[in-house]
This record gives sequence, C-alpha cells and structure tokens, in this order.
Amino acid sequence: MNLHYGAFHALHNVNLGIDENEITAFIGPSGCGKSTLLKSLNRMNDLVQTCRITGKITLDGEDIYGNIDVNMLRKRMGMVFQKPNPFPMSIYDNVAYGPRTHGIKKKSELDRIVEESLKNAAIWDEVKDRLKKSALAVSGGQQQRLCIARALAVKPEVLLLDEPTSALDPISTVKIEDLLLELRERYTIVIVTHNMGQAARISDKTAFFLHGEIVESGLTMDIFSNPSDRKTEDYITGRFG
Amino acid sequence: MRNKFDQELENLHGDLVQMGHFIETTIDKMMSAFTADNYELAREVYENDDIADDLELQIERRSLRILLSQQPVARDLRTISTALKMITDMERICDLARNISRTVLRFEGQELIRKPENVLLMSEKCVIMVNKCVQAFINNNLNLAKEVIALDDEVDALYKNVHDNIAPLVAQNLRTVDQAVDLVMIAKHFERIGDHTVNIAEWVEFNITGEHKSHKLL
Repeated sequence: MNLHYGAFHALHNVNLGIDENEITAFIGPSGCGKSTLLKSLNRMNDLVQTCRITGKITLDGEDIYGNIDVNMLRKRMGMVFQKPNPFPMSIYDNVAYGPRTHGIKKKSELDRIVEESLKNAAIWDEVKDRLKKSALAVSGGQQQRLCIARALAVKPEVLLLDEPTSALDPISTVKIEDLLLELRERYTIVIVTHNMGQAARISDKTAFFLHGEIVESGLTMDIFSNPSDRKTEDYITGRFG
Repeated sequence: MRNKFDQELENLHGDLVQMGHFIETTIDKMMSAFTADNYELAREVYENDDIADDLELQIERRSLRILLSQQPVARDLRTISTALKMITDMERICDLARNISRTVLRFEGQELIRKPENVLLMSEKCVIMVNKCVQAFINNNLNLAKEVIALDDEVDALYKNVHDNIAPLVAQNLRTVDQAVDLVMIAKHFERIGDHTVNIAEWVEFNITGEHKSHKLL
C-alpha cells in the first residue's frame, strides 16, 4: 500500500504480513512512517482530510478500506496510545464505555466485562476496591493498563499500541511488557516502539521503517542478531536515528 | 515482574545443571573404566561425547538469545557470562574423559602393567574436583569453589611425580612400553581435567562475587 498526506508521500510500497497471536514491532526513527501505518490499520487516518491510501490493507482477507463498518473495524482492532488517555470518569465507566456503546446495558453483564477486562490487563487487584473512583487519580502506569483494559472490553482481535510505555517509568514498563506477552496468547499485537530493547524483549517479528519504506522485516531474533541491511544494523546499534 | 526473563534464566540454569550432571556421570564412568579396566564403560564414555557437544550448543544458543533479547545487567549479566565461559571447560572435561577412555580401550586384550598409585590418586581427586565444581555452581557455593582451586596443587604435584618416575614404569617390561607411555598421557589428561575444574570454580566465584581471580572484570 501507499499513503499520501496531500502531496507528501508518507508510506512507499509497504507490503507486510502480520501474523495472528504474535507481537509485531514497528521500529525506526521519528517521521519514518511507523505510526502512520499503525493508524492506517484501524483507519484512524480517516480523520485526516488530506490522507489518501492506495493499495490494500486486509484483515482476515477482507479489505478494511472497502465496504465495511468502520466502528466494527475499530472494535476488532483496539488502539492504545503513547500517553495514557483515560476518560474523565470512573475506572468502571472507562472500561464499560465501549461495551455500552455497542449496546450492552445489563449491569451484571457490564460488571462481568469490567472485571474480566481489568483482570486481563493485570490491574484488577490494584483497582478492584476503587472502581467508582476517577480514572485520573491512579498512576500513569495504572492509567495505561486501564486503557488496555478499556481496549480489551470490546473483545478486539488485534491490539495496536503506539509507544505505549514511552511515558512510563521502568517498573510500569516491565508490567506492560509482561502483560503484552500474556495477551499475545489471545490477541494479535502490533506495537510501535522507539525502545530497541523493548522490541527485542517482547516482539516475535520486527519491521524497520526508514523514510516511509520498510527496509527490512522478519523474525526479531534475526533482525537483532544479523540484520540483512546495513541501514537496519546502523539504526538498531544506535549509529543513527 | 520480568516473568519471561526469569523463566529464561531458570531454563538456562536447568541446562547447566543437566550438563553438570552429565560431566559428573561421565567422569565417574571413565574413572571406573580406568581403575577397573572396564572396557564396556570406556566404550560408553567414548561414544557419548556428542551429548556434551549438544548441551554446549544448546546453552550457547540460549545464553546468546538472552543477551540479545533481555540486555541483562548486574547479577544476571554475570550469570550468563559465567554460563558461556563454564561450558567450554565442561565440554573440554568430557573430551579429556573421552581421550582417557579411548586409551583404556587400547589396553583391551593386552597384558596389563600395574597402574602407578599416583595416577589412581589423580583420578580420584579429579572425580572429587568435578563433583565439587558442579555442586559449587548449582548451589552458588563459594567455599566449594575455593576447595576445588586448592585441590589443584595436589593434582599438579601428583602429575609431576608420575612424570618424573616414568623410567621405572617403562623398564618394567619392554613389551609394555607403549602402555607405560599411555599411562603418563592419561595422567596428563587428569591434570588437565583438574585445570578445567579450577576454571569452572573461578567462574563460579565470579558469578557470586563479581571478581575473577581477584580481579574486577566489570
């Protein structure tokens, strides 16, 4: 696929497969197109008026830019952003927000979803006694796991994460990384990260972007031990970028 | 916290324990083969060398993958460095046990000369040193590691004695000169096994204290 923002050609001939129940990391210097591609995966770029996409992005063989319900697509492809962005409401209402939007009203059902989602996001034990408290009152690391719980509450198939730990301290980062490794069993995960160590620690596959192109993609172990392209090697060893 | 990393370190430790037990068993069998002229055991040790090579490769792979994916520091870094260094000595011990077994197999069907007492003593001490260095690693036991290092002087002295007294051994019977020379070679192999156990013990010491032969490496 190709993506343009007006006259600017942001993604060039990107051709990449993302396998299910794996963590795929997008790495590369700022402005290389990795977040642009991530946002294209659940059509967040629809909001950018000048954005034009050619080619195809498919989910289970279905063209996501074809005749589909965008809300349903975003339900299947949850997204978590760099900065934790809980809604200014209670922890419970944050997690229940998505299911309510999709028509679930019954309290017992919502209770079950909230508990299950918070448990899956490894934050239940920390917040179970203050579900009615403001989501803004918990720490940054907890807010980010709450955002992951919120994404999980609508039963997505894919989780898209845009630098989810760059605003967090090392302990919170480790918690999120452990969480993603657990979630990989049930979800397909795509993560944009500037942290080479994080990509090496948690991802199965890695794609290296430069100037809107994928220079190299493959098994993370291969990319980080013996990359085939010199530019990849220079980037992951910190020699540029 | 860092569940995957801890699991990987646990797996690495498990592999090292497995390799440690393998060299203990190998050395035991080799010693029985040598002292009791048990050719069946000698053959078994001689033929099982691939197992040590495979374990070494498995540990190398695992260690490098951990280094690459987890960027270990402090104690974790020492553990993986120790693993990578130790396995070379472990594998060499198995090679030497194999060499001794091959030599024992050459004795099969020959008129056997009396084995020098000091070579038998060397074999006993080497078994003890191997057991102690493996246990020092498994249990992170600095005292055991130091005991191994101390025992090496005794093995060296025994070897010197064997070497210096080769003439009477050769003179026993001119038809068994080759066997006498082989026994000195076996003694040399035992001496080298002692050296490798010392290397392992020194890396165990590094793993525990961060110092290798009284030097800070990091």
